[in-house]
Amino acid sequence: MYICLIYTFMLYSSELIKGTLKTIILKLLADNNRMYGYEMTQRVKTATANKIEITEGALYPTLHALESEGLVTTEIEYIGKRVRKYYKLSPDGAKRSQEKVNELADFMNTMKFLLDIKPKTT
Amino acid sequence: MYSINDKQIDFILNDIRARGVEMESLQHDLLDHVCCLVEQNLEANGDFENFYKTTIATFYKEALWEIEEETIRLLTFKHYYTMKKMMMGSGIAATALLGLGLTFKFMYWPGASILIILGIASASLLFIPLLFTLKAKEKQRTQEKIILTIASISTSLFCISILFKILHWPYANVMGLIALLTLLFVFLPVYFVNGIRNPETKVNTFTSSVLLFLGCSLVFMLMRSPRGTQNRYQALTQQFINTEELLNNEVRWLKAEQKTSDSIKYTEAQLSNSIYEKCKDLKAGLLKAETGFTEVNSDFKTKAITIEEHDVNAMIDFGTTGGKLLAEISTLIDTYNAKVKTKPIPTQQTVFDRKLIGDTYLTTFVVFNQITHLQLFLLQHQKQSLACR
Repeated sequence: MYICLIYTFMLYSSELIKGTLKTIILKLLADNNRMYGYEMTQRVKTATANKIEITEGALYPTLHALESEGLVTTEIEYIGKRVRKYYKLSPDGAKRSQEKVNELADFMNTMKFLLDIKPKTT
Repeated sequence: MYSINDKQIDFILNDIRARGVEMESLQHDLLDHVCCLVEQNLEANGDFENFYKTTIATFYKEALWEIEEETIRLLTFKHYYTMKKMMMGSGIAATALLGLGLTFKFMYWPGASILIILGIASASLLFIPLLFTLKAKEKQRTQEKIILTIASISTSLFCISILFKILHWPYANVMGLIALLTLLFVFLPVYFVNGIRNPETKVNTFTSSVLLFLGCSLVFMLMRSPRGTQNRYQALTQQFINTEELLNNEVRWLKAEQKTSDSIKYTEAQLSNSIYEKCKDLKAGLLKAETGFTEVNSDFKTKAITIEEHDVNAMIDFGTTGGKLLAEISTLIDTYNAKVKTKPIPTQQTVFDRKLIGDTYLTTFVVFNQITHLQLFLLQHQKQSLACR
């Protein structure tokens, strides 16, 4: 039942990055106006050099939850016989997206400080 | 790059449906996703069926419907907060309404009933079910969920039974009894046995069980036992029979006296007799509605006929036979009182007081007594008139 998060990130453990999927989606939509599911998975894959791969089992439930929370809206387009659903940020979602990104950045800084991670020197 | 055709689109959509995905918007999401994967990764002359099979298998661990299940889980998780807010809101509302209602009731201010009704209704229909649903979500084991369901239904039922009781609606006692018995004999043993085994919950379970048992027992103590109720109804019926006999004796005596006296044809006596006879009819009607019989004799115990304490308002409501008779009696009383100014028939605070009907809870037995008092009053007056002549 709760497979999706285990499958979400191929290289990082699910516990480590659990809860960041919403932020990733919101940020993607903030940068790209509107996107469909497959497009999102591909964008994340290329942007992270295949390190993070969002699976369908994690992506769509999260997209539906974001839609139900009123953070994203959908637009439907017909591609021949099939329906393509484009996801778009709502005004609330745009605000939330920035908050989520800031929160995550702040969290990463705190973790850096907590774990005393020194920047790599070459 | 592979070009997918309409037939293949139908095939994929049907397969997604067959794999248990029922949400239409999720079906479309998955369909488009699969189509994209096929188009991007399959060569123009590639084997569609094989590619599809392998691709769809990467979407899940055991079955495709897991995605829908996860979606529903996330969607209801959002509702969790709404439900929690509603539960707290209804809890505050129920407490405030009940508190205000009780204060109004105690102070005899108008509007107490509506406050109490709304208070109990919001507690039993919103607060308790929501509390149960939220608690049940936290429990993993089915057994714990069942215990919670039983507790929630019985508690709601108990509150509703109290609401029915104060509104004098039927089946209040039955509902209350079922709720308390379920709590005591179904919920309590299961809850106790389950909780006492676990060292962490042992003390809590023990104290909660004792408190629950005490609460239920105290409510039971306020209830009359079936035997006690039967005895009371039999006593009421016996009293009714005795009074009727007393009335009949008086009438017999008066008739004998009136025969010897030659002048009985005066208006007062006619009016008085007319009221008396209508009272008899009203009593017979009420008795029929109450027991199914127009008269009750000393063998009432063997026939299991008893006068109980039902609300009489429905039997004497406007438009009913009882209501019409009551209106006729009231008009006759007005005429009588206009004629006999020295000793008018007192109707205040009785069923003959028109203002009282509908507002006050009147039991059959109380109304019987009030009618009997009126009849005795009339007989007494006739006796006095005879004595004066």
